[in-house]
Amino acid sequence: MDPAGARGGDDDRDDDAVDLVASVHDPDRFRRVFERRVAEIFRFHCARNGATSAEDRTAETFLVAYRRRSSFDPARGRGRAWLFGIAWNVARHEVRSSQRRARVAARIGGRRESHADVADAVVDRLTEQDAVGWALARVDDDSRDVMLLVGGAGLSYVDAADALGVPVGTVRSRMSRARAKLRSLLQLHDSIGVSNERGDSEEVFDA
Amino acid sequence: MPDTDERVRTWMHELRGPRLDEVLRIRSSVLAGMGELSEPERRPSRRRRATPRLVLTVAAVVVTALAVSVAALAGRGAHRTPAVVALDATARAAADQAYTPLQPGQFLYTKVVGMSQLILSGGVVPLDVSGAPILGATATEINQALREGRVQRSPTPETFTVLHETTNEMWVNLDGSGRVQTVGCCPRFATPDDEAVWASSGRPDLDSFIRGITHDFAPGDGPMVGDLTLSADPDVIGHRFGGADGTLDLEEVGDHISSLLSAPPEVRAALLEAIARIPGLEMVEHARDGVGRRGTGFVTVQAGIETMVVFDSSTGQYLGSRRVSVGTDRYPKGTVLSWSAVLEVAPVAEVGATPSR
Repeated sequence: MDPAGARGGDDDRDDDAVDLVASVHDPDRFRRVFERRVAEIFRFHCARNGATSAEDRTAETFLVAYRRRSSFDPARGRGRAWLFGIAWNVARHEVRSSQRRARVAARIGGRRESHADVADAVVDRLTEQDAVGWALARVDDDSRDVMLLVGGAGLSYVDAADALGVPVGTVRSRMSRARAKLRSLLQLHDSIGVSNERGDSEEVFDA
Repeated sequence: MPDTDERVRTWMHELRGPRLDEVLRIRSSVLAGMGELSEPERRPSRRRRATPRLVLTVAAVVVTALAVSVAALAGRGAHRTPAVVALDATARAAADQAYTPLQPGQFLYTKVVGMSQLILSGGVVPLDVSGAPILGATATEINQALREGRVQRSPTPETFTVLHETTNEMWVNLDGSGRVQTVGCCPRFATPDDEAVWASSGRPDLDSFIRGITHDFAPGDGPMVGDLTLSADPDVIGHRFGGADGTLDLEEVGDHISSLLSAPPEVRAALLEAIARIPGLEMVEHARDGVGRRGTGFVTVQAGIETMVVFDSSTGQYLGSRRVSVGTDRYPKGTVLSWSAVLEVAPVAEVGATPSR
């Protein structure tokens, strides 16, 4: 599939959209969306914020989707993209909440607020030994999100734009930047991996 | 497709997907949320408008009952623990809800989902009064079944524990007739040791033990006959659901409380007072039931197993229960042994019918 294609997805049919629209009057139809998408939404949450609480975020995604299903408009995008947009918002909200908690904890504990602490927490949640996880944890949020949706979940540019609520051109430029950053980070990681195989340092990871 | 995209896609696809138990919990949370969002009867204003005179009458009765309850508790001295105080508050919340009694001919429908613990114990499987294997038998049920000879030979002489998902639906008439319908699925072992015992016992088919049952009861025969007409007396409730001395066991409360879900508010208030008498009861202010709903929890710990029942803080409605190991010889700390969540309670016209949404 060409990610730059118009309306991407599993195929031309949009079963999610059909079921979402039908679920407004027949709530049981929402279960089909759930069964079809629960695994990949769970994986998205694991990939973006880590496995901790991915279960809760997945449940929250579907509950928000159920609550807002009457606002879904199939003319404005695919059902799967709409669902990923909700998942993305749930994940973003959790990070903002954890940042607020970190700030409160810092004040209570007399510690200086540190953005690095939050970033480190995100890094810790990702698989440190994994090159892609390591690299994704070190790019900015915009690059990571667009890469997870387009590269990871296989959304088209148009669908990713729907999910993120930005123009397609923005997705295109973010993907371009994300690829460049990831490429250089992966090259760095691969070179570190060669160094590690020679046994000369885990310190490089901590630098 | 650029190489970086491919690497990200491969990485993401290789991340583990949700395990079965995670999918079941997610599904339960979503279904519970869907139920709440689709349930117009949960709007209190609507119900209050429908039966204002009845509410006032019931409230007057319950205020009296609660006054007695609080006075009785206060009269026992300075042992009003936070749990007891919270139970009083919960009882008040329960009493504030509108109440429509079950009409003759109607059946009280309850739907409870959860996870149960099936102990294949000492070479026997406990059977219920109908002769069907008891799904998720508790130690109390096993002992009672042994006393009454309601057992069948287990395929293994050793004990192992299987946890499995359950969906229980019940239709109960005032005359005791009705139906119990249980569906079990997805067995798994509580610990690796349990799996080892199962394997060494010839790997018996677990599905045969958790297969669902449907059993119809004639008038007077139902397992809950009389529960819907209990008097609002904590002593009566204590003796009905508790031990010989009338003291409730929180685990038993969790198992049987759904039969009181449609009882008049004063009966539920009496149940809460009976709970407040349980020795060692503690409160968990921000508890969650098995499907993630928030409420006030009440906890006891016995033999290394923590049992918690959860009530909705604002309505006093019973939500569910859960049992977790806090460290025993058999189950590591944190092992969830069972949980249940009441998803639906409503009167219906006939056995087999479910509330229309």
